[in-house]
Amino acid sequence: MNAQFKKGIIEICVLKIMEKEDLCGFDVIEKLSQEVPVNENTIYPLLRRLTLQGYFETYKVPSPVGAPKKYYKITELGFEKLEEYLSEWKQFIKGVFKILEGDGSQ
Amino acid sequence: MKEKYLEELKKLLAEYDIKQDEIDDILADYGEMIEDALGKNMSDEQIIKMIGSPKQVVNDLSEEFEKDEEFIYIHRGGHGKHANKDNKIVALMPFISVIIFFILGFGFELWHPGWLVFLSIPMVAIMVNAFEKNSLNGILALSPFVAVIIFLILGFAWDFWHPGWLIFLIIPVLGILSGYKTMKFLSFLTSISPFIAALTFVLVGTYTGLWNPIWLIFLIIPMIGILTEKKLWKVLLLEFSFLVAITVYLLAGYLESQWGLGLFAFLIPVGVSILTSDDSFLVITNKNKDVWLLFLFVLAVYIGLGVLTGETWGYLWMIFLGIPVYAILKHAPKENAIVAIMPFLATVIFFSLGYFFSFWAFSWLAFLLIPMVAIIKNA
Repeated sequence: MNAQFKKGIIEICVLKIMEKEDLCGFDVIEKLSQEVPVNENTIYPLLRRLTLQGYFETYKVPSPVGAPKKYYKITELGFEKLEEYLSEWKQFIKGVFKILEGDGSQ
Repeated sequence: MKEKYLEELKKLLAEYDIKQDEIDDILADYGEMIEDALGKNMSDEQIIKMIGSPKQVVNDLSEEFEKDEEFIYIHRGGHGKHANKDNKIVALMPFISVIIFFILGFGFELWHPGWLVFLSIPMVAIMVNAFEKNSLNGILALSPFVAVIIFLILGFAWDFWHPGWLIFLIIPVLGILSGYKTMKFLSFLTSISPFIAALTFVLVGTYTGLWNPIWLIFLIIPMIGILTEKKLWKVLLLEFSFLVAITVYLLAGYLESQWGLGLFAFLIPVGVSILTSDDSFLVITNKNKDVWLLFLFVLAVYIGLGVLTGETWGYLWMIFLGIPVYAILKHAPKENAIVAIMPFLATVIFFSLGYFFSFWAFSWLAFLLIPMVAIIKNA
């Protein structure tokens, strides 16, 4: 699969898995890599960019064993972006299926 | 393993043009991820596979941020031929400025305002360095100088020091505009509303003397902010409560000359906000109880002294700045607190010098304390 295309999908997945719960960087990588074949080391840079773009905000939670842990929380802007991505994605997939199932030639 | 990994990552990141606090943040994030992985008994190899080698990390970060022009902050810089040529121009500017200054002075008796030419030194440095990375940031970085030049021209040529100082509002306004791409329209409107309000307040106040009730224009800030609320009934209720409060205030003032008492009408929107909010800061909790107490105390002092003396309305509002200052001192990391409270201190200095001594022409200099303190603190 084209790397850029894959990155775009991963971006949607990152936003989606954070939709319901706040996660720390490690959890995001773990959760995503369990479901999707992804180059794990590219997730943090992506997470960082999305945070700088305002789709996530971060906060720290004290940890009993070490330094405070940083959690990522989706912002309102992030929710909007996710909705936009999902609608584009659904439209795209609909078209792809139409073609693959033979309707596209009509 | 963790120390070695972070040390190598730090070394590689240092080769790039990234701010120190960004580097520290990235290192802290990777340190945390390694800790988490070690906590799950992952081997060194598994950890490297998961988070990538330091070299991969830097490459991935670099690649990720080059995708969007707005967010390029990680790139190699400073060693190419192009950079050398640019640096020469920056290094030559002081000499060029001195020469132009003397030509203007000796040749045309333009010592003043010929000295303005010295502003070209930082301006050229900004144009060369900031525009190269991001044109919007370049404009933003140049805006203080452009504002100073316009302000001085307005002042020297037409004695327009006040309200000419309002030109400095372009600095924060441009700052907000630079974030426009990533902001929702309503958030943008809310962010820009204090400046629109301040501009209207000062201009109308200066030329008509109607400081009261023109200060009501500041209510556009919460009234626009409310529009971001998702529930329509809440929006309508809150907006309505503001309109009722404004109407009562104006009626009390104009019909009964009871401007002070009229202020109590604004307890209506405050009350409605408290009653309708579910997770907003307006709900009193154990965490924000002290801030609320402080707010009520300050409100009581402001209204009490205003009603008793009738003279303190115009300047005592500054005590409200004590509330965010208190909240910052309570919550912000101690090392950054002084930087965070500087805008409030600068506002107090600026307004006090202007209001009590009519030093509007110079009091804006107080705002320079903000970047100065930030620079000294980070130096």
